[in-house]
Amino acid sequence: MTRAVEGDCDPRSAIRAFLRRFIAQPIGDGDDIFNLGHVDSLFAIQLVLFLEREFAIKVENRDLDLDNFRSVEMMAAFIGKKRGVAH
Amino acid sequence: MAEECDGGGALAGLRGFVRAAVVSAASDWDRAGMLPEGILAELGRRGWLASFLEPAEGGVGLDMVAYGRLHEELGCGCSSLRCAVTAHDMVAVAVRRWGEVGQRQRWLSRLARGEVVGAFALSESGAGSDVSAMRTVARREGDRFVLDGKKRWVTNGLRAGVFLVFARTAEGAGAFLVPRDTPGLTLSPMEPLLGTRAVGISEVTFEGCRLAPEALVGGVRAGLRFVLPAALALGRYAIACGCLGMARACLDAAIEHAGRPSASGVSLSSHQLVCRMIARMVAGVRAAGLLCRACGASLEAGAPGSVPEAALAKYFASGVAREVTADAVQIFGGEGCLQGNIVERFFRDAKVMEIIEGANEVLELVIARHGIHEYLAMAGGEGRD
Repeated sequence: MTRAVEGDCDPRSAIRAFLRRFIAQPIGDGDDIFNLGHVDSLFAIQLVLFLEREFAIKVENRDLDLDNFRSVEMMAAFIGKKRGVAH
Repeated sequence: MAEECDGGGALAGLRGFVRAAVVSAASDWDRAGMLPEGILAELGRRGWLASFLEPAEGGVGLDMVAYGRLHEELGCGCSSLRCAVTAHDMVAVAVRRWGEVGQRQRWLSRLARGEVVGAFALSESGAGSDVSAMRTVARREGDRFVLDGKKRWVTNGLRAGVFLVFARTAEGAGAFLVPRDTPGLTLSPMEPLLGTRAVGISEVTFEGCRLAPEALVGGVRAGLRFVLPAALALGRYAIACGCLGMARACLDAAIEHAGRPSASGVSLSSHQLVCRMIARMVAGVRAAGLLCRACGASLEAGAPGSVPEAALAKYFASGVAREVTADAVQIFGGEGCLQGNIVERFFRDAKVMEIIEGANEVLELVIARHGIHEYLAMAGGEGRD
């Protein structure tokens, strides 16, 4: 997978590409992926590893709020917050 | 590998230690149903507990490939000892990954030195691989949690100083660090297992255990989504490498035995059907070794795929261990059925490996989904992790 450059403005496309592996049906950027019922018990930790590696951030224990990871929009906002960038 | 384990670095002297202090004693530990007092502290002094921790955290900073080699070597000598280290390390990795600063400062260096033994308390009667059926609860009382329930098959339970306990809360499933001296916590040994008998398996009962707020690891909803999978990935990888070690030990023993001339002057290895068994054993050990190394590299890189890769390595290596140990018993014949023969012990140990840290049938679901995800990634023009 092509890594997003640290300074990239919009992480949404890389997130969408990652999610397409796990969720076959089309999803919108605001859809709650945990409520769609298509992800298993190992998905969340894989998502964390993906976000850390792809966007060079560190997900810490205080970040373990599902609201940071529920949708493409929420993840983009979370990455922006970790990088100190507003989306 | 011989160079790493016999030469310099954090694994220096490992192979010699296993030969001298583990292989010769493991059958006695198995009969006694208990590892000797102080063996984990000895591993801690040598840097082989929670060895992935950085020196600033109290560890020796092993990378994940070297960590696998540590477990392979321990697995060559004694599955019970290797299991004890694995369970201990699963607690350490959970605290390191998701613990607060205070939790890390309180526990990590003590876990690395073996001053405190860690135990992983997840399984319950009727809730083994299916953790969603878990009944242990932690209810809020002011700023504290009160823990009630019973865990079974707790590795290291009898010698543990701290338990990582998974429990339901009103908000979700949490993971809690529970010191052994917590009022309301009681331990009782379980009946001897089929294999890994020296590991000190136990039941742990919690009756109104009042836990300080700082007992919670990673938040009240993080237990099953974040804390457990991080620990399981390490645990499954370590088990895979331990299975590789026991398969290697049985292969070596079987080849040595098959090469001895019988009373009639003919060795077993001159028989084609025995050679077929040895060929299958060699192929299985080689393939399991490659999967373990690949998984170690993936974990070291922090790849998202490392989580299912660990399931794959454990699934495959435990299957190889079952087949290789069974073939080794077959080659040894009557001698292989005697208690005290390493192939007899490893044959019993290997079966347990197909069940713990996710029964292999559960792992098949994980592996199949991972295969589908990889296919979808490739079809979408992406590479593998």
